[in-house]
Amino acid sequence: MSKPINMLAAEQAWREALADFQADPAWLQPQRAAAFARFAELGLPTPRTENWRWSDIHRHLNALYTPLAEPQTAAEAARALLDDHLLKVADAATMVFVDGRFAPELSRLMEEEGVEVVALSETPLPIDWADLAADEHDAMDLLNLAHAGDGALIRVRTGVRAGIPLLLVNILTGAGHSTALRHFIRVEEGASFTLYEAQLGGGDHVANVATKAIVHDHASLRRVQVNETDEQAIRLAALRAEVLGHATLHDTTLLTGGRYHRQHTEVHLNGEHADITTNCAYLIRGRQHADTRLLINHAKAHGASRETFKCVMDEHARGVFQGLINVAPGASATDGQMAAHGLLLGEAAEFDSKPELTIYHDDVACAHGSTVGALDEEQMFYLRVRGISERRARALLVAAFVGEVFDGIEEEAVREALAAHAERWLAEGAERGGKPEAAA
Amino acid sequence: MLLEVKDLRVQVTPEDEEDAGEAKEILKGLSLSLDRGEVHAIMGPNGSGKSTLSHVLAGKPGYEVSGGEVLFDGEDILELEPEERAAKGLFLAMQYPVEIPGVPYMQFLKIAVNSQHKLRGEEELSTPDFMRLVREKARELDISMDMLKRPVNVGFSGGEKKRMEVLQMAVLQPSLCILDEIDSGLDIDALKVVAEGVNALRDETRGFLVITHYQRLLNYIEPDHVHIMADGRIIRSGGKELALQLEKEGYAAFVQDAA
Repeated sequence: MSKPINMLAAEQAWREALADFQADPAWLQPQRAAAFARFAELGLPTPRTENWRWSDIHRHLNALYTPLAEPQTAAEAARALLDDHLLKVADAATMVFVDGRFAPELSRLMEEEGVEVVALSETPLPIDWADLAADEHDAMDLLNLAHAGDGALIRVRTGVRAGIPLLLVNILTGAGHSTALRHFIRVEEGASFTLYEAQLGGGDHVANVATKAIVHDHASLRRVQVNETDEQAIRLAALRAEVLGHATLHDTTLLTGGRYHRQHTEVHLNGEHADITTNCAYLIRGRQHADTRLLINHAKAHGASRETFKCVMDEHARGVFQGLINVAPGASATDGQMAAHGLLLGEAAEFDSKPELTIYHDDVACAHGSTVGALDEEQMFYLRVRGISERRARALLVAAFVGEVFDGIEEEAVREALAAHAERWLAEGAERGGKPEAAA
Repeated sequence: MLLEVKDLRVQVTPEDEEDAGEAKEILKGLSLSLDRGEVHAIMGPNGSGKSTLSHVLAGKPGYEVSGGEVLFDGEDILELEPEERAAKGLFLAMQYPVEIPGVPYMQFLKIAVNSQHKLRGEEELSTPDFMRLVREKARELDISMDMLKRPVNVGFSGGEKKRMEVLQMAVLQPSLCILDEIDSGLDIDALKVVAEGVNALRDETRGFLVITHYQRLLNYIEPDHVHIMADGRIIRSGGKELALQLEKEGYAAFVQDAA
């Protein structure tokens, strides 16, 4: 195991880096400084921090990873990565970031009435509708705010049902460094919006991406995010969303990349009849580590939430699921269902799952379930005895296992691209020599 | 000869039971010859090794062959993977067809057909040709195309599952069909439909090995030969009248005779 980070040196370097972001934008600097001061008080999470007990970030951050103020690669050199990736949706507007910096020359923003999209670095004055504040109790969110040199600020005005989805692409190239992006999405009353987020590139790089969203009454936000980085990159990602009355949030995540991936998803149902779905699939192998932390807070009555996590671990990979549904006092008729299922393909793979419910109100229907196991031998035999090769049979069963996660994606091309990616992942696994083709 | 089983000995080593590690012999020198155009029935009490025989012929993992050989079209198949045996024309209709959530029946069937074609070095079936074939066979078996859109066997009744096994057989066109207690869990109407489906496939190119507890199935699928199995061996063989005699006298009389 590599040596864990030297926190004294890291804190010093990270503090000095604040100066690099003074102008991006200047009005945010006091908030950055305050966020860093608070981060310094908290320090990095340790395994004693309850939500981090299975993911020792000190060990994964085995170098300083100083924040990168400028992209390490010219935008044009990163262009090739945009030609072929999962969320390449023909009709989407695109906002590309290279090493945490907006790259207008690679982006394609489209005008749509009632939809505002701006890059954080290009806002000379504070944007009053965007709330960029960090969670005072979350060290990684505070660090994100301190070092976020850019991000997308999106506003969809009242009643606007946006027809053009927006794709946010973050391309990593700067080995040995970290970058941070801070996005904010505001979907106003009765409006609707679709957002795609892709993480491409890789190398030994830390990407800290925080997305905040507020979905107002009767509004709808649909999001699909994919991490396709290589197996070197470290990714810390967060979604913090507030969903108001009769509003819906539908969120789907597919992770295959990264050597270390921490996904923090936190949704507050702050209005009655809010309806949210968070689905996530990850497929990892080698020494990859994926940790998904989920907090669903039913603060108001008649809320419905569905959480489905499908986690596939091969070789020595380790997956973690920590999910909590909280039902606040007064949140009557809450309907919350959380399920986390782990599939172990390799004998050395591991899955740790901790689903929790805390309920402070009677009259609710909440359930959680978690399973972990290997592929079903009877199913494997049934497929093989019909002539299907062992490799193909495994691929079919794994694709079927994760497939449920993609079912709710409206855009057919995206749904199929994600399902196809899962199958490709399995085919690559077979080529790595782990699963020999049984019959040629 | 389509299938020749010679002095087959098979054991299993239980892993998670009290007697873990102790190999237990299940087939104790079983021999059987079956030719194209023939229907053989194997009858026997619980625990006689009938299902083990079908599993070992199909290549199910977990069994250890300690002696004997199995020739399929003259070739020893015991070292072949289940999918290779399938591609050579061996079909096992399961006693308990497995449910596979998330895999639509039609997709499964198409992959199965084309995997077999690929293993045999044949060209894949085009989608229209495949659909035509399935539609025709499904109609004959009174199976709605809606069922083929559903995940494999999920939520199917016992009768539906068995009818679908026969559909697979009709689509895959194997040369040896092993029916492992295909009558279990079927009411008389479902039994007739399944039997008709099987009979429709009977011809000079194909052989059938029908494994069953009860004589009843053999009223509908008439065998040319009947074998009685007990304690891992075939203890008596004869014509179809043997099944009737067995029905009248019970297994015990035959087992005693053999002992």
